[in-house]
Amino acid sequence: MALPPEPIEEVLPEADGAVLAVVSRIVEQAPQQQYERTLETSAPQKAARQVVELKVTKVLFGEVKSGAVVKAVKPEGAYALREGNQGPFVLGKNEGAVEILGRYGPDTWSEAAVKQAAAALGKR
Amino acid sequence: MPMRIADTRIRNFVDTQKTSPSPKISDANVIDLLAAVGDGSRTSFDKVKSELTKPGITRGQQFELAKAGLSKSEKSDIGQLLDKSGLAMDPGAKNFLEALVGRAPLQESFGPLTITGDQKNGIAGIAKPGEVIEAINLSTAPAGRLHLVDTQVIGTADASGKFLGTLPDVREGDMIRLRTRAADGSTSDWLTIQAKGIETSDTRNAIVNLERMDLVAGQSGVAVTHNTGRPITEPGAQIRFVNARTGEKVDVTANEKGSIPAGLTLPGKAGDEFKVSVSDGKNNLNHASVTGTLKVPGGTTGITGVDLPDPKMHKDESNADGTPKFKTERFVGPLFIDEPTPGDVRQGAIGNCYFPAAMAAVAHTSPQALKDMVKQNQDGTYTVRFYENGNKSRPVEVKVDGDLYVRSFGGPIYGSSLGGTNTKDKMELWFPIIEKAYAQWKGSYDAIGNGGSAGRVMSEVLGRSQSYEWVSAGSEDRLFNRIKSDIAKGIPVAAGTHGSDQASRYTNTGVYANHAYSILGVEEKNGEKFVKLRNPWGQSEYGNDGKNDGFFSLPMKKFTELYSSMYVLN
Repeated sequence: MALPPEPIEEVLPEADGAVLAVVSRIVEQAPQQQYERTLETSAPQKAARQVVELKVTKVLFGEVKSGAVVKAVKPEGAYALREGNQGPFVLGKNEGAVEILGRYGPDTWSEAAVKQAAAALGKR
Repeated sequence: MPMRIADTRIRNFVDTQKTSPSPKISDANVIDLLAAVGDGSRTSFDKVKSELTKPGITRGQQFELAKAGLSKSEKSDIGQLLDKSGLAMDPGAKNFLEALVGRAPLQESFGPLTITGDQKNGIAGIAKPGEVIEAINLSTAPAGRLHLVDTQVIGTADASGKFLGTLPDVREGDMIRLRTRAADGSTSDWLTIQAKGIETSDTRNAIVNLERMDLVAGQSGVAVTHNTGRPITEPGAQIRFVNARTGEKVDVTANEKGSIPAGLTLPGKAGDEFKVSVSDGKNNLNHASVTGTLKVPGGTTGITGVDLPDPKMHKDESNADGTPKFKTERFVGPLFIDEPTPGDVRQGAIGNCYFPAAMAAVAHTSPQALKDMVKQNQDGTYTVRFYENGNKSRPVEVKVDGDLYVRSFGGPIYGSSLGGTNTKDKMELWFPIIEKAYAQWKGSYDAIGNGGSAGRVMSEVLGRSQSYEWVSAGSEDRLFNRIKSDIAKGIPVAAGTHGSDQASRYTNTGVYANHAYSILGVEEKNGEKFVKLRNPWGQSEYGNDGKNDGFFSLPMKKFTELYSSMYVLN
């Protein structure tokens, strides 16, 4: 459902890190349910879960290193990733795995918004 | 028997200590003894000492360096130091000496986490060498949006396990929660201390964060809940709730996580207000200072004018028994500040993009129609008119009041107005009131919050029949001309993107899958055709015009790639 992005202040406390990164590889792609073409929007539909590799180009906060490749879960939700997608990725942990936070992944918040909110929370 | 120290450096060390005002073999000066033992014919004292103090060296490596040079007479000297010197010794230093003479195994660390002394000059203690010390001030955390695990690193235990660090803004009596983190990421159990030695007395009271608490009226009273991942006060603080209507008071003690006890129920009912105060056991003991007031959603307390039943919240914002998770507030701002425009409209946290997209499209082409469809009544309520199935002969009038569901930290949770303040006395109300009336008509916010058609809404608002065009490659000119013609005639147009199964085509484009947009016109620039659109979020758009206000212009070719349908009226 096309809800607006969550306020970053609600999500950032759950985050362990935030990076600028490029999707370098789709490691796993769960089966995607196909939906019939419809006139309705905000329908209860979901893009399937993916596991991707993120090549980190810049660290906004957290213990990740620039240049590292991070394996991360893109949970079932409102967006999907392709190789080459890039932007700010806010990362958390879910049952031991790194998970991409934010309703629209790298299109959820700008780098400046993430940095500003992280600074306000004392995240480094 | 007196000591008979053979090694000159060890003897000088003892003599120096015995004339010192505070004689002691400490974790710092034991390095001199280790170097004295470790030197020899091939390695000088200075070289060994330099090796022993290299950054990152472990206790085990220090021990091996010393042991490599240990002679029989030096072993005897160390034994005498332990038995006869009478010198005080740090635990780490003593263990080095005992290990050298074979009386005890070398201890690599002196965990678990222990805090030593007071906090006048910072937080000092002992942990395993190399471990990072993380801490959070539980007395100040509830004022922020911090979770219990939002710690700061205050220091690292050195080779002897000692650390000294500081947290900002620590006052006497503050509750500090600490843990260690090893290199492999594993963490210790939490240790909570109360800061002391900073000031002569504890004058900072505990705080309680009212925004995190939710009050829900039920059959047995008013249930108090909150997200226990975030503390609302400091551990052990006493929170007092006083029902402003009955005067009944309830005291509860916060648990070790700074949470209120699970299952807390207060005597009261919907509409009641509770005054909340807190005491840390040293300050505000009589609860004379009140932090604030919490209102139980529902009821009629504080309502100006007629109070009508509100449409139920979306299921995502409702409790299992159907009661709302959020309270309402009466909004009394102007219905229209000026002419309705698309920029007034902002979608809330509900899956009804089709509704604000349609309303913004109507505001663009037919602002007077919006002014005509909603009227403010003398009793503070509003009457909103729709047309069933877009049939002008079948008007439907819906009456609602100005109560809107609000977030705990302010502002409506569902649709709101942009371009100004969203406070309850100033926010322009036409869009949230029409949305509320639409929810009331259709049954609830849940009934309108799981998808729908922008064409249908435009039809129900204007009383015209609806139609649509599928968008596809090759249809650019036809769609361009249709948009141009309709908007020139004052007929609203909207568009929808493809479903979430095609979401990957949207990432990084600034356009989103399964989403509706208002169409505001077309234009030609340098021979290329564009369509002008608006995202009902009031943000997030194609391209970068530096505004991020949701308005953007898209080449027609791109439009046919990213959009699936176009909503029009007949």
